[in-house]
Amino acid sequence: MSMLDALLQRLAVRSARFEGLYRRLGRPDGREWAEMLRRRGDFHAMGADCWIDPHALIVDRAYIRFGSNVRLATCAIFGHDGAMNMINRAYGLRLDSVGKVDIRDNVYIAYGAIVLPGVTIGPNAIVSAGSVVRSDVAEGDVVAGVPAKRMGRLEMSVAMLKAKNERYPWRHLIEQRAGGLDAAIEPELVRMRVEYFFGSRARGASDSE
Amino acid sequence: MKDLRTVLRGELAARFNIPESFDDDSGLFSGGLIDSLSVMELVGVVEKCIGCQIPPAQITLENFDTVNRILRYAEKLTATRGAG
Repeated sequence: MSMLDALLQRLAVRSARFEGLYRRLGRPDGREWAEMLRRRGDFHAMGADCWIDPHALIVDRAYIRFGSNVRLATCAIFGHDGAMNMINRAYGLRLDSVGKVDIRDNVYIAYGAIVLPGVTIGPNAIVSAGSVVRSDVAEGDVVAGVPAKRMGRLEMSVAMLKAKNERYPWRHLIEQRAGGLDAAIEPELVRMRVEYFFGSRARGASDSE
Repeated sequence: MKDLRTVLRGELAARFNIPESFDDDSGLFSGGLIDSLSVMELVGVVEKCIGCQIPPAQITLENFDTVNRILRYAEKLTATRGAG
């Protein structure tokens, strides 16, 4: 992390006003963004090794608890019902509608998913892209859809992924890779994947050529 | 379990476009014939056939990856339910 990034992160930790500046100029990755949020202490609790896309929309932070190894793509998490202000004004009422969001250990929430107030997402679960989660997700479930429903089990998905990986011709490169992205291996990895997906052909050539 | 085998093979062909010629020991999920988001659809077919719910913890590759594994699991499950 550069000195400027470190300064921006410190400012963002001190005040929410600087979050936008840190996101724009510091271009933090999900790990750095999660660390900034953890240090700010806005959430009810946050475990270790979380990864949060800087563009994820998380409101009502005090009502939200994250376990460890929680990973959020660009999703939205709400701790309140946004319709209440309209209802209160329309009916001359003073009602409140809020709920906690409790996300336990080892959870991934994919792009475009929306998590509504009052929901607990059990450990070892995946919320698929575009889902709307309005009721609890059980431990070990893979959910998808609107409203989100159980579509599979994480343990089974992991076994399937292992089998799929055995079939990849670039499996040996993944075994060698240091971390999620290894600059030394990446060009060969991309070349092998492209050849696997599209066959060997000159890059940029079209079917009509 | 012959009936369940016939029903299951028919459903696999109709719902998941799996050719009727496939082997009953072929990996449905591990072989990439069915994707991970279709697990519950297959579980629903089996539940309907055997008339009882399958506990989420038992939805594993061990029990559901091939037609023969599904039949063995269903037989065990119905026997357990019958005994209980």
